[in-house]
Amino acid sequence: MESTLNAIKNSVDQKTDQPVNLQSNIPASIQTSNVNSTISNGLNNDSIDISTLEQRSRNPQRFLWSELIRSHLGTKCLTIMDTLIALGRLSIREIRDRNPSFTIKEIKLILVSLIQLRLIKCFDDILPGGKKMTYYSYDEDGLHILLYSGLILNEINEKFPPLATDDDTKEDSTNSNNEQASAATIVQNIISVGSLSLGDYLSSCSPDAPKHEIIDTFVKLIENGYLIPINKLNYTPLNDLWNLIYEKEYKLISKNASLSDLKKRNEAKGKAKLQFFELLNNVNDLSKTIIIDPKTSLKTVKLNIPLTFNLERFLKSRRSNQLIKFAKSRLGVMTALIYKTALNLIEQKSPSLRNPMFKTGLLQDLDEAESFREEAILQEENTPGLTFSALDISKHLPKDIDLRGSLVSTHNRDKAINKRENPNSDSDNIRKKIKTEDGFVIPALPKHVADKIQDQDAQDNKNEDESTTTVDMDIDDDDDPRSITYVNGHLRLLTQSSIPFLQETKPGVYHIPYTKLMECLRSHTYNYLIASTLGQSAMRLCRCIIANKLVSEKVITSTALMKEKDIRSTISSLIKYNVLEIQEVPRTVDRSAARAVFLFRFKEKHSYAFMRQNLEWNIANLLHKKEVLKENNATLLLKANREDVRGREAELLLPSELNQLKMIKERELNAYVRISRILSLWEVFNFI
Amino acid sequence: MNNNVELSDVARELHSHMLRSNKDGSKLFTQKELQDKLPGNNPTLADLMLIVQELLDKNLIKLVKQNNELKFQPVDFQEAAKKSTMSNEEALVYSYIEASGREGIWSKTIKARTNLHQHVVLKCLKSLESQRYVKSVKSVKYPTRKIYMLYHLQPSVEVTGGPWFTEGELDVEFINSLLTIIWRYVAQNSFPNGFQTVVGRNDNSKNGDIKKKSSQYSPHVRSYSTTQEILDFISSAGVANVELSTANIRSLCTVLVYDDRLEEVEFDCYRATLTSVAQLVGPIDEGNTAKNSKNKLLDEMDEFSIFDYHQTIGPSENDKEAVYFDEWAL
Repeated sequence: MESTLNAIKNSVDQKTDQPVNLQSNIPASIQTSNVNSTISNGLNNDSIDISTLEQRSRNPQRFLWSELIRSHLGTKCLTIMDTLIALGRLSIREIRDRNPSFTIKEIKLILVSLIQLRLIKCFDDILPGGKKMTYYSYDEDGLHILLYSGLILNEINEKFPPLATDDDTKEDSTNSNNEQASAATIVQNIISVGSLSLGDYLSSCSPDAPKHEIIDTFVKLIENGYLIPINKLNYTPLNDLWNLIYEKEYKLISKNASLSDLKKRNEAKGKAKLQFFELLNNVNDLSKTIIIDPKTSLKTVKLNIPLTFNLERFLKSRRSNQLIKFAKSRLGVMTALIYKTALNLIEQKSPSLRNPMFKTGLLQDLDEAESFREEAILQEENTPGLTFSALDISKHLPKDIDLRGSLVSTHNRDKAINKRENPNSDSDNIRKKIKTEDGFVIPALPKHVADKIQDQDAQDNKNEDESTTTVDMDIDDDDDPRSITYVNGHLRLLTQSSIPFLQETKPGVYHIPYTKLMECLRSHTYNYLIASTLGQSAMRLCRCIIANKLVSEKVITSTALMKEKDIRSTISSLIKYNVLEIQEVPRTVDRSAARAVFLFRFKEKHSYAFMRQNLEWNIANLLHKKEVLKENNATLLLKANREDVRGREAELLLPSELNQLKMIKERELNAYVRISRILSLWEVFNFI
Repeated sequence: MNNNVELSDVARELHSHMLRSNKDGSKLFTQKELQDKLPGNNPTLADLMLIVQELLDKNLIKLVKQNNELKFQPVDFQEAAKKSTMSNEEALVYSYIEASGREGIWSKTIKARTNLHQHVVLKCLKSLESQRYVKSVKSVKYPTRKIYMLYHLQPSVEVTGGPWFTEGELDVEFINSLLTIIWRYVAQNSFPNGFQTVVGRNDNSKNGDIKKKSSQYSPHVRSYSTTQEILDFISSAGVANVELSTANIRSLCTVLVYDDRLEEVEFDCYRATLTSVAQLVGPIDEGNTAKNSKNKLLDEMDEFSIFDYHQTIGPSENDKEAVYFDEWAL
């Protein structure tokens, strides 16, 4: 477990915005040549570490999960997990058959700890003979928690900052006690053992730990949805559960019923869905976990209920984070700050990112998937707690925000026109003569009539000016830095944007259309990934093809206005990364390729899946490189971590060793920063 | 000129009448119309046939079939004189080229339609070209084909490819400079502070200035530009030496939309994207990021985002943790 904690601690130390880059913006040609040259030279320690062919041919997801398990839990767990990841669900005997070096007892021991960490789910299946058999399968939840561990603690630390000690001279013991009450420490402990009850936590704390603060933090974490009571569902594979409920419902329908099989199945499906959701929704009942302490009348948590970390809640905040960054890039910092407040306001109640229905395989059916999407859109609009008004936002705005001057209500163009027009209005002579079609020049009006009309115009303009200045007054001259007028203005900007950041449910009430918005975010992230790696022209082509659906090269030339030669070379690199698909349209009977026309199209699902795998593989590769680095310097690291050396490195280590140690730390830091950056891209494609 | 051609009076009168009422050169006359124009009482069809035959012999009239009805079109004397000097094959080839109008006709199509041998067609084309009766043009659609059309005609937009093509080749430089001009014009109108709108991470301004710089137009302000406005601006600036239309501007704006530098607000109304303006801000200056950290609110928003990719710096050669987009796909 120590390794888990180390890794978590290390990654907490990083801020995601370290001045180190993702380095994905190098033109592909450079990258390719680098890789080639290194491969031809053989793996040389002095050159850039480029993965071997064997690594590159591995399934990215399996590579990632196995690297993660190796770096956090060691090789024994890795062997078991790897077998399960590769083969799906297995019984203990089947696992042993594949790993003969393990005894059943050893396997059971490993399985218990892996189940505790929520890395494995189990399910009692009844075999045809009526015999019960327990099957084990890997659980992505646990793996995601491991993957995000550093970011989770970072987030908890930001949302629930540890209690600050007023006096620096206070004793160390006070600091450590406060640390025990900090939300991050609690979550870190819970993650490292899988689940923990308040009673267990309190009993492991030092006797003079601030008990009330700890309980208070637990209550806060539960109320915010970050901790939930663990239950059997956390250990049950959802698809097995669905199959069980569905089969049961199907069997319940009388065999004599005069229904076609299709109708029977539909009926069973409908009933099973209701049961399935009822089971899942029952879990989120806070009243069973939080009670009022009769002694203090304060909220407290039941001592004996084991609590676990709620990944779902964390992913919601990741989604908000992504959307804030998106809004910032499209509408600027100030509007993004308003959007952030809105997102935070409804974050906890917002729809879940990973719907359990995706695990059931039901959405393979197109009708089912479409109705599911429509229902999700409807729910976003109608669920209470997901709508808000400008007033709600202005109440929750950060205290130090100042919105004055963030919106300008007169266009520069109008200002310029006014400036130009004013001097003209004084001199009548400059006025253009008006000519009718037959060449007749309309003579100027007699002076007294012209003056009268001018007076009238001036009066009208004045009135108009007054009416516009009242609007301007609202926006420009509002002294309140957090005025609701500004908030309304920014909300309207979000609503009017071409990307549906907000939608107006009814006048003045807004909601966030997550389903549509995430689709936009995904496509924009994808496009920018393409632009940053393959160049701006690749993005132009890609978006051109998306806009025109199925296109030939000629259509691309005329709409994207690029040379055919450039189009061909860009398309070939896009095809290499599965961005585009080719469709061949034969023009002759013998389907000769020379005469055929080629059409191009973009298939979202395939392209995104490829991108996800690519990013996944890169995270895994970084983890792998980090482990190799540690292995290569194992002796030095062992020495530096010895009890007697710790803290006195400068005295006891050679200068060369210190330099080496510094280099290792820097490279590790680099790896963590890049992992967190790629993670922020990967999650856009991974979570639905 | 008229005297060079020997014609009967009636035929000459009919021809000149047809020419007079055919100012734009596209009018077709029906049999009935011609019959009415003939002098004398109740001229018969046989009379008309004789006259028309006479004009046909002299190449002064053309027969056109329209909606299954035979119609007549007058040919002026100059054109008739041209035809009379041609051989039969040449006249046949010429008639097809003439019929193709501004679109032009492919030499292979001429061969197929006339049923003449290739050598003959080529010989005819050569002779017609040398007499400056026809010319060959380069088609943008089919760069390998030889397209012929009458010497005095301007090739249609389909053939030349419109203003984006110079001598049959896509003029990328011209397009790119126009794209930049359009984008700059629209961007200037989209944000109150123009190109100063985006605050870079290495911006040293005070908090107040940053806020002022990053201000946006209120939602009720019209911050977009229409294609007509863009066209007016380009015409007044005199940047393009070819005539442009709003449709041309629209296609340029579409390209900018593909580049995500503009976004379409409504039909023909465009606004610059903030991301495109942000791209003017260079890579981050690491030394300055620390100085700027006074503004906590802005700092929180300063996480890595792929939309700010232009602000990152490429990895050095010794960077062993560099991530390569193509390493896995290789």
